[in-house]
Amino acid sequence: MIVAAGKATPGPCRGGRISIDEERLAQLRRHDAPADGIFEEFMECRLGAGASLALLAAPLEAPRDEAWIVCPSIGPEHGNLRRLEAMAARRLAAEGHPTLRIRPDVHPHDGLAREIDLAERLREIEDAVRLVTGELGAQTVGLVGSFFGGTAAALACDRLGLSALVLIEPVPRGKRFLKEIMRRHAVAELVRTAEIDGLGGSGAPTAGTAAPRKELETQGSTMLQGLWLSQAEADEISAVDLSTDLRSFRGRSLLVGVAPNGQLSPTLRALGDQLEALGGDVTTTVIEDPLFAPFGEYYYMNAGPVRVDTRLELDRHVAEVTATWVAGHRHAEPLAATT
Amino acid sequence: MRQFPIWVPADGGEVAAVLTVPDGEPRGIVLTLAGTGRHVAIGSTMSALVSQRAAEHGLASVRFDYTGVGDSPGIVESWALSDVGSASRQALDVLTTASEVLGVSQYAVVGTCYGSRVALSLVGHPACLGAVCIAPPVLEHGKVVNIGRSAGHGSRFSFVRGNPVIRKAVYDPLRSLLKESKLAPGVRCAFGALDHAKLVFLYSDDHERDQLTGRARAALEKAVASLPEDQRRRFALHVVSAGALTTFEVLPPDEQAMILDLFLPLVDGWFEPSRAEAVLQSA
Repeated sequence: MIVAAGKATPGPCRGGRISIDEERLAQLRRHDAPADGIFEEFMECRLGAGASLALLAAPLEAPRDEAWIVCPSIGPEHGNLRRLEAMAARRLAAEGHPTLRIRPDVHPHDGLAREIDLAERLREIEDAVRLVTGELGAQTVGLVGSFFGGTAAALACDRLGLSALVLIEPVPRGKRFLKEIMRRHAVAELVRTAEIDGLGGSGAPTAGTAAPRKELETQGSTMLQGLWLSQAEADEISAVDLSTDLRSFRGRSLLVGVAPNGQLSPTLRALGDQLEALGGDVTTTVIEDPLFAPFGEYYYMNAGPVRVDTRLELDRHVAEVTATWVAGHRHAEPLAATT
Repeated sequence: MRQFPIWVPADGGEVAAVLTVPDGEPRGIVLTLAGTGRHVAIGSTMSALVSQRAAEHGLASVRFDYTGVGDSPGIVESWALSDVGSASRQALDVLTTASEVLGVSQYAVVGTCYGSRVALSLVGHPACLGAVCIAPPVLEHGKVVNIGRSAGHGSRFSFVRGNPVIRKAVYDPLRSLLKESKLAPGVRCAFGALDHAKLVFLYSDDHERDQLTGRARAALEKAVASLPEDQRRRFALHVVSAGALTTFEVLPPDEQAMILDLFLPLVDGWFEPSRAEAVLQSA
């Protein structure tokens, strides 16, 4: 469902007593970055049932026929991946490709969605594909996603018959994703409790330290770092396994791994083999990075009175690798039906 | 309510912002300022929640990603926590734009953690009616704290800190001795704005994580006690029973709602009633 929202009408709105300069607001939807040769614009329509924002980065000059969509990850890690997604979108736009990023936000009526919801993320991707092929006139569409956003992107590529896919440190199995976000939640809670102990606090366990899996079983839902996960959703995600769910994707794909030892992980290797077996054109690459924090985790490091961004170089590198690969593989393929 | 995602020219760059407008005439603007944490929405979860609730109070609100964070372009390699210069300029530019498009000048500020430092830098403006600072650090970091924060795992300092015996014998007394007990300049400066603006400091009972230590509280109370009566009445310190407010994003929704329920009515009261409310009141 694509929803038109906040549509601006020319001139100051003088209906009733409200006087909002909607003409200026319409202008502010977009900013140009001439040094990068791109502009960014919040599209008027919104995506999915949650009315996520659609944020376009596109070249100032004539765009290429192939558009890209950056698919957000579905769990709490998304907050730590937004900057990477933005950098990747800008680099792709600088290469001439209109690139839309999906931004879950506050629904005008229902408020801020606080649930982990794979089906909703997939609906947003479908809406985004309609938007770039319809309103923006793209001939072909590729999807980019990191962590479980990569998994969602792969599922959508397969279902919608899209032409290209970039997966950044993807988690191909839903069970592993759940295990990982629960582990990270438990570690965060443990650190919190340990800090309280270490600093002379009571150290009493808080409600959040209860094992999420047990909460799921007994209460039907649990909260993981600020987001609700229901048992039904956990079942849905657990059922995802790209090794069996990818059946028809034959497009080109880039698999980007990130590892302190620079080695390709067995998981990524197996995924690459599978995509090749389906008939796809697969490129795999591994970026060596010390990973101060696991990929998708909070990446600032305290250094005295300064908080240092430990992920900046990696994010730049991933964006560069993505854009370079896309630039080296430009070819137009007809777009499959997306309904 | 209506939402307008926009790009605002700010401090020489552009920042991604969302302006939220109530259905009726906005009585004022609430600017929300995030910490340096993980933010799933533009601004932060706190900012997004405030935007919904502020609209129910007839208030517009604006939230944004700082330069180099989330969707806002730019490169920020590190954040000096006591230097809010750029963030403050960005915030003022965002406020100015919101004020111009809405034709409303009066505003209040709500900030968490680092954002509360930025909020304190904005209360001196005559159009600012007040600030809610969620878990603001009130003391300057002392030397030991700075060394501690910069010591990596495996360092000698981290060994000393991690060993319970040595910690108790050496680290804790040293830390206590060398700890700062002066109010941070930003807090002192903001106290000067109490001649016209309200200040609400909000902490949880997780005092260590929210940095409301005994020393911090004592310094705060001493400073407040030295204020003239009328200014003292414009300051309020609230401590709520909840998880650390520095981790607002991951608090259970009922605790988040309780915190919003506490400060939003206060903020509401800082603004003039709408014309409709004023007519009702006079009747």
